[in-house]
Parts: sequence; structure tokens; C-alpha cells
Amino acid sequence: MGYGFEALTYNIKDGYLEGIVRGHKTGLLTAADYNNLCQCETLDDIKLNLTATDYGEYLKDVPATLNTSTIVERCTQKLVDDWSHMRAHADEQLGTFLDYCTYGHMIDNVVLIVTGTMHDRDHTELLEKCHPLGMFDSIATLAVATSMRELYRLVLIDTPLAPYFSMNLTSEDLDEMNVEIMRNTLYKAYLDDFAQVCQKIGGSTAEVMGDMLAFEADRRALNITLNSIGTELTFDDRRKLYSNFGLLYPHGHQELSMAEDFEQVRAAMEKCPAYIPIFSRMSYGESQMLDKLLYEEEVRRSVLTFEQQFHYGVFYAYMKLREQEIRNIMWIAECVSQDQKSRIHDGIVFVF
Amino acid sequence: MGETRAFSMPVLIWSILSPILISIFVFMVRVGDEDKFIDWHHLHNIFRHISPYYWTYMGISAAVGLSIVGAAWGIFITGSSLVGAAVRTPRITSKNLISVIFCEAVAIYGLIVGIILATKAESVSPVEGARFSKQNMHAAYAFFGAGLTTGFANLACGLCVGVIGSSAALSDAQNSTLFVKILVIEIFGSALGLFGVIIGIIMATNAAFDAE
Amino acid sequence: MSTQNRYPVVPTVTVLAVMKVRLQGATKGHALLKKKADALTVRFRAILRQIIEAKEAMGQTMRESFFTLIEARYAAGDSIRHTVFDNVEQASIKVYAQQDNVAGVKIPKFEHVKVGTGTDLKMDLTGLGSGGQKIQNCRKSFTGAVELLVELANLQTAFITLDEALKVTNRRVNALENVVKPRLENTIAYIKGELDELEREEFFRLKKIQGKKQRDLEKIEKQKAEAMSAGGNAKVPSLLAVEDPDIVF
Repeated sequence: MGYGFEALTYNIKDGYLEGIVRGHKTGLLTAADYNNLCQCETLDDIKLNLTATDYGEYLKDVPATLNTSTIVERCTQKLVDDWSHMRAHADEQLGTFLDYCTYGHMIDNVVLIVTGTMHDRDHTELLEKCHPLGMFDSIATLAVATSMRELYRLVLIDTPLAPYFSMNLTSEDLDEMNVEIMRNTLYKAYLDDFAQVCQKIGGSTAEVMGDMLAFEADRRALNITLNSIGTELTFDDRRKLYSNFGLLYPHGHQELSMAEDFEQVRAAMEKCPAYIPIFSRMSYGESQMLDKLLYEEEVRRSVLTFEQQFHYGVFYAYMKLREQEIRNIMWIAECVSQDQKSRIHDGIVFVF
Repeated sequence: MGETRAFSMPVLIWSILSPILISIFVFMVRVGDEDKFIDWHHLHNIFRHISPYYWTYMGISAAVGLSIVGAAWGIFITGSSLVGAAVRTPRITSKNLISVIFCEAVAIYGLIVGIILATKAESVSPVEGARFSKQNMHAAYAFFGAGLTTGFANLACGLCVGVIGSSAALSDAQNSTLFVKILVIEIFGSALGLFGVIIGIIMATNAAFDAE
Repeated sequence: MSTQNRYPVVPTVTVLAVMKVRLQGATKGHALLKKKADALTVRFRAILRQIIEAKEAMGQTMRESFFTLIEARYAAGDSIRHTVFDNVEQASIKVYAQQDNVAGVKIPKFEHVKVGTGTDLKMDLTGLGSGGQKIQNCRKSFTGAVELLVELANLQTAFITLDEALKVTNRRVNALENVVKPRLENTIAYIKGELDELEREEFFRLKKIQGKKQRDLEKIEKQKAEAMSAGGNAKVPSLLAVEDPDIVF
């Protein structure tokens, strides 16, 4: 079905899950919850406040000595459980879409495994560090691989990421390439592929996800530019890490790849009307706030996806919102435990 | 880049297919006179010789069938969303049963029109040769029209109510004050089917078979 | 200050001389140790002040460093730490231990040296996709914190070592001043007293002997005169018959 007619066919397979995911979205912390959390004096208070929310069940049996990473871990577990529940109920196409959403984590895991194998780290230790959303079936065979080449042949080839490897990296790259460049190359390939998959699904999914992914691609381009200023990464190499779509593609990318300081980046970004509001909220020469502003923009866009029905974007948006919420909780917990309550509002991005 | 791809395939297929289909149709109806592009006389003959029962029962099946397709479609659109949303907020289930009932009503409209049409069907015999009297033909076409009107109106109505019902379920789960507002929209959607039913009944009552 | 508080010695002139030499030694040693103690105290005070300053700075720096760590984790995601761990091959700051000498006390001294490795280059790109700058910030502030930490460790070790040395020296000074010296002085005083006593006794005895001699002489004179007057020529007793008194002086 083409544009506008998903309403008739969408619910055949995905109506139930859409209801579920919207239900999960209701469970996100509200501004009132955040205000309560900000008043907390100790981690126990935070735990107590979170017990009244969706996280209650996950924080029930935490050990007496509470620390931030335990809280964050439990909160992540909630997202993982939600996600695997939805994945188990998903019919085809939505299933693929949900898998695609988690490939970002999978890339992180793969890169982790690659560096771990390079440095001969213990495999069980590596598995513990992996993000649970980015697990793949062949990860169990990890212990077999001893060299990089074997790792690729036995483990990575069976992951959905294998095409990204084979298209963008050679076997020499696996040994020599800087892991961060490898990670970003894979991520670029992944975003391009994801965008194509969304367009293939068509309808309002294509519309909504096009918007979300364009923002994600542009944000990565922006971050890569900012973070590579002053490093040995050449302009050409930098350019290669930008995705092949997004609002900045291709002219903005040209400009970004040449940028040498924050002001040039800003000038390049401000040529795109969608990003003017973000940059206008920053005073001149200030780049510290940028991360938070970008997160805010992402949250804004994610919340907007819920305004439309009968598309897959809500699942992606739910994941993004939950992740932001976990980041918020981490920020609050850290601020409370380090007694930096004056800065507590610097990191929270309210969802509603 | 993606949007053009999403559109181009169907457009391509139909631009090739539609001339072929038109030529086939034209070829079919010009049988009998090779000089005319469309042989209206032949076409007239075909339609004159179709039995009124055929039209009447086609009308009845269209009325009931399409209405029920519409109702069923609407119910599963509403239902699957309702079930999903009710996992977290079970309070919405009884309230949102209204949406399902609205969809169900659409099937009942079709049923009513079907019954009316079925009671009006009587046995008639051709007057001269294979032809039927004017009144009988009128009745047949009227019943067929009434059936189609009701059927399609109710199909569309069912879909409409279903989609709105699904939205109503989801939004009620988010914010319970929205339910009443969306219910108003749903009522308007539900009224669409009634228009078809009214016209169908008027068409049916105005015509009757000339039973000997 | 009773007579108990002295060395058990025989009160003789030689012992007196020995004691006097010892007292002199003790006085000199006391003066020297006192000087050392003063030098150490000056240094000790200086270190104490530095420690307080360093600790205050430490509190601030650590607090800020940990905050940049949160910022980095916020911007780059929690899993970034694994990447950072895995990329480290070699410490980028190393600490060397040396020794410093303050008034004869050896104080360990730490110095940090930055080791330029390939890790730096690799680390530059960490978090390229997100939060790289925050990670660099975090790295910088923690490098500062480590430097400060080494500094503080340096001061604290010096403080403890000095404290120990100062205690020993002070104890010695006090021991000399309050125990050894009074005891020696007492001993000397005692010996002197004893010697005086002996002298006085001797004098008295001499006086007594002198008196007795006088009396004896008078008696003989008297007898002689009596004999002269009675017998006139009474037989003069033989000198040999008279027993002579012992001649002392």
C-alpha cells in the first residue's frame, strides 16, 4: 500500500505492538518525576523515587550498597526486556526494522570484540561488557577465534553486519585500522542501509524515519567534525565517515569536512534551516552545551513521531527516548552521589 | 531518493497495464460490428439479457458482503490496537468496546439492507423472448444499486471507524480525557454508513418486481 | 633532685673528672640536636602548609575531574569506558622515586614523568562519533589530577618521614636535657660534696691530734718541773724509757 493507506493494513501485523510500544512510552518519566529525583539527597532516595515508576520491579532487589552503575544497569535491563518482548512478538518487516534499530549497539559490541581480541582479552569478560541489545547469535563462538582473520571468518561473518565489513573494510584494515575509524565506518554503512530499508518499507514509516535518521546522520557528521578537529584525521578521511543522506548531504558535508574550528562548523550547520534553532540557543563560541542541545532535539523529534500512527518510527523513537532517560538517570544519580547538585539541571532532557 | 522509488514501480506497471486492459475491454464489446470502436447496440443486448435475479442477488451479496468486510476490517484495526494498548492500561478496554460496537453496527446496516432486498425479490418471467419488462429491469437495477451503495458505503465506513477507533484506543491509553473528543469524530465516521443505508433503502422501496 | 638521681659512682677525684667530661659532651650534643630539631621543624611546618594547600586543591580538582567523567559518560554513552580500557597499552604518566636530604634525614621524593606513547594518538579519536571532546576534557582534567596526586603523595610521605625523624630528635633532646644532664650534674655535685666532707673530717682530726699533743707536752713539762723541785737531782728518767708518741706531721 502506498502513501496514506497504511492505516488499512498496518494493524494486520503490527497494531498490537504499536499499542504496546505506546504503552511503554506512557511509562517514561515525566517532568514531575524528574523534579522529585532532583530533590533527592542520596542514591537510596533516588531508588525510592524510581520504585514508584516502571523501574520499580527492576530495582526491587538491588544490593544494599547502591551505586550509580547498578541503577543504570537495572534501568537498561528494563529497556532490554521491553525490546526483546516486542521483538518476540514482531512479525516480518517490523522484525527486521526492530533488528535494524539495535545494529548500532551491535556495532559497538563488534568493535569491542575486535579490540578485545587484538589485545587478547578474556572472552567471558568481553561478553559481559557487551551491550545486551547488540547481541547476535554467533557471539557464542567468540571463544573459538584467536586471530583477527579467524574472528572475521567465524564470528563476524554471521552477524548482520558482515556486509558492512565486506563492503568497507579489507582484512588488513581489521588489523591496522584505528578502532574508532572502524566503528564510524561501520556506523555510516549501517545508517545508509537503515535509511534504505526504511524507504523500502515506504509510507509514513519512510517519512518519519527519514526525518529521524537524517537527524542522526547529521548529528554524527557534526560530532565527527567537532571531535576530529586538531587530530591527525585528514579531511578526506573525515568526509568518508559522513553518511550519504541527511539534510547536510552533500553540500553541508563538503563544508564540514573542511572545517577547522567550531565557528566554521557552526557556519556550515546554520546554512541548514532545521539546525538554526539549535545553534541560536548557544552563545557565540560556546560548544559545551552542544551535546545537550542535540539530545534535546533528538528527544523533540522522537516525541513528535508519536503524533503519527501506523508507522514503525515509534519503536525507534521509544528506544531513543528510553536511552535518553537512562542517561538522565545516570546524570542525576552521579550528580547526587558526587554532591554536585547545582549542576543537576545541566544534563536532564525532559521528555514531556 | 527513496520516494521516487516508492512511487515509480506501481506507476510503471499501471502505465503499461492500463492501455492493454482498455484494449481488451474494447475488443470484447465491439464483437458484432467491426466498424465501431464500441458497439453500443451489442452492449445493450448483453445487459438486456442478464436476468433480474442476477442483479438482485448480486445487490444483496454486495450489501451484506462488503458491509461485513468493512466491519471486520474495522474491528481488527481497532481491536489489535486496543489489545496492545490495554496491556498497560486495562481501564480502556470497556470504554473502547464502543469502537468495536460501531464497527459491528456497520455489519448490521448491511444486514438490514440485505434483508430488505431479499424480501423484495420475487420470481418473474421474461415477457417477450428472453427480455424482461421495464419495471422488472428497473427493480433489478435498483436493488443492485442499493446493494452496491450500501456495501461500499459501509466498507468505507467500517474502515473509517476502525482507523479512528484504533486511534481512540491509543489516545485514550495516553490521556483519558481525549476519549470523548475522539468518540465524536467516530460518531461522524459511523454516520457515513447510514447515508449509504438510507439511500439504499430509498432505492429499494421505490422499486418492486412486477409479479404476475 | 634527691641523691637517688645520680650515677652510682665512687666519689673520687678521677671519677669527678670523667663526669665533668661527660657533662660537657652532653651539653654540646644537646645544642646540636636542638639545632637539628629546629631545622626539621621549619621544614615540617612548610610541608604541612603545602599539604593543606594541595589537599584543598585536590578536593576541587578531583571533584571537577569526576564531573568531567560524568559528562563524558553522558555524551559518549556508558560503554565508552570499555573502549578506553582496551585502548590503553602503557601508562602515560610514570612516577620515579628519589631521595632528598633534610638535616641528615632521608626523605623519599616522587617525580612524575609523562611518557609519550602511541596511546596518545589512538586516544585522540576515541568517541569520534559522539562525545569525543568530552572524553578529551576528561582525560586532560584527570591528567592534572594525577599530577596533583603525585605531588600530594610526595608531600605526605615527606610529612610522615619528617614527623618520625622529628619525634626521635626531640626525644633525644629532651632526654639529654631532662635526664642525662641533671643526672650528671647531680653526680658531680654529689662527688664534690663527698670530697668536701672528707676534707673537713681530716681537718678536725688534725685539730684533735694537735690538742692532744699540746696536752701531753704540758704534762711532761709539769712533771719535769715537779721532779726538779722535789728531787732536785732526782734521777732523770732515761730517754729510752719514755715512749715517744707517733709522729704524724
